[in-house]
Amino acid sequence: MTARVVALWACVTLALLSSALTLPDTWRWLSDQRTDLEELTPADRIQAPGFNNRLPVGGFDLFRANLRRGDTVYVLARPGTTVRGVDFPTGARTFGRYYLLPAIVVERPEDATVIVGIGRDPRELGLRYRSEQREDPFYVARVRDPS
Amino acid sequence: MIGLLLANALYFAIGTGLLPLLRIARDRATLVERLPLAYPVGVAATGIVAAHLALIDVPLGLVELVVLAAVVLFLGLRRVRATTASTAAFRDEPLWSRLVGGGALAASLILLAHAWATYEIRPLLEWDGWAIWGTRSRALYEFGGATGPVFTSDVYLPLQHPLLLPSLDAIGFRAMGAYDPTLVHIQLALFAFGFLLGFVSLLRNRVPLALVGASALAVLSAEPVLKQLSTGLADVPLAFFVALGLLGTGRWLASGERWALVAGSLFLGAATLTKSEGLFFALATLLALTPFAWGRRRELGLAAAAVVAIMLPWRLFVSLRDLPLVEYRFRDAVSPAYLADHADRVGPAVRGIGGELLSGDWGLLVPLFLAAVAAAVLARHYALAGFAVVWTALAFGGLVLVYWISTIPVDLALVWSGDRTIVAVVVGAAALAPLLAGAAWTTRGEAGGTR
Repeated sequence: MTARVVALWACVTLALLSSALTLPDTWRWLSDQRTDLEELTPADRIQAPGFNNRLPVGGFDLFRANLRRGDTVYVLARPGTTVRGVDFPTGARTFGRYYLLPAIVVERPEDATVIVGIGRDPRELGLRYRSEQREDPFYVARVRDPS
Repeated sequence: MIGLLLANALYFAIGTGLLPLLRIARDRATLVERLPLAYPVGVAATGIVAAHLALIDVPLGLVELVVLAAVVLFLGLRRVRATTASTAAFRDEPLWSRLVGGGALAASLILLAHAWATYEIRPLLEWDGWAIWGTRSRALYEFGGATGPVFTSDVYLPLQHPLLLPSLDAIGFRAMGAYDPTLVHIQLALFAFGFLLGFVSLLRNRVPLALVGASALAVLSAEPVLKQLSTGLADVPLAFFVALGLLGTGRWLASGERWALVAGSLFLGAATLTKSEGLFFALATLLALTPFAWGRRRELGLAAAAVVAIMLPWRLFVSLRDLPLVEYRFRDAVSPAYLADHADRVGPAVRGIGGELLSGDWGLLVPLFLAAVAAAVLARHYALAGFAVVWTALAFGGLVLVYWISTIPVDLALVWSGDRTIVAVVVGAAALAPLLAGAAWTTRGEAGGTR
């Protein structure tokens, strides 16, 4: 048997050994994930990104229920931190960008058709609102209808 | 879920039509032999088309896919010639090799079925999974294209991520008739299945089935592969495209078979539209091929042109809309003054990425690659061995360069992404291992055939 054929079969052996080392852990991780997650409801699965990062998903559900297609949203959030180390206003805005689609998050209150507040009242901004809704500590204030 | 599966059946149909159109399979026997490659080819090609159409706000749904599949199948099957003699296949191998290889492939399929069962109930949990990729997928589904603020406004930074994966997700949502960020993860399990099909097809007739099956199982069972794939981030899909691109181009280098170069180029092109780093890995592949395929530089040039043509619309979009790349600037990579000023980042970057490369989570994939290079050298397939070593060095060096010029503190950047960016390097190198080691088995010399 030549050296090159030995090398070939050494590779087969290494590949099988590699699988033997990693497959049990990968299998177990997949199984654990399934066990942990199978009890989630469809609604839980939609909300999971927020809960997993300890963001107030209930408030965002209130916001979403009051938004229309074409709305632009300014997120006014209290100070603080999130689990990932980013400050809370950034975390809340980032989650809003995802969760509130198809509404678009904007950087300036004057560009928004709706102001949403988390722990902060939109009245702080001094804008005139057509309607306001409050479920402490969450606020939704509509400036105008989407164009 | 039926809609999503139907969409994937249409990817397979599109791929089946593309095999003869791209001359990956010219006659009936070859088409049947390479049919498993149709699925990953269809996913890559449809993803490329969908990502380009998104740039002009044209969405792809089931109706469009049906029309596309019908046209491509009609044109493709018309080009198929009558059957010529079939090439030797795995059936010519010793029984034990078929048993080991078949067993390992069966184990791979069982593992993927297990992953499927988890993916279909696993929501988006990881930050970048929903904050970047989930947002882009949903926005493409909601708006039908990428010209709106989600893809162009600084509020939605980072904006530099290409659109292939979100475009495929958006097709999935349209096919399902609803936005379901959990169920669409089945597409990720199908990505892994497509990788397996492509892996086997691109190694067929050159590598013993035992080595094909064992290597596929080693790659798929490595913990970071299926674990990271479940997050919805693009790193593992990128790694799959890079690996198939390497296999196709590597096979062409070893055997001269142009069909493998065409397939490899398509997958490398898809990689450039999956993540920005895909450009680095595709460039590393073409550069690594150049010295060893200098005599066939015309074919290699055409392959490079194809990759550039696939990537160009996205790069033009980024350039014309002046989309910022917030984490680094490409021009810093060629600025000696900038590199010298930030030279203190190199040591931590090499140690950090090197640590990820040698992580126990990968099992023995790195030793497997090294043993396979040794096997290729012993078999005197120096060009193939050289290509693999140069690609790995360039890919690793490219990653170090990205961390070198990054504007984020290097330790933080490595914590955030070091374990993800290394995936394409490890999976790419490991995918080359059977091709390298198989060089000791095949009786054909380098660049022997042109089929």
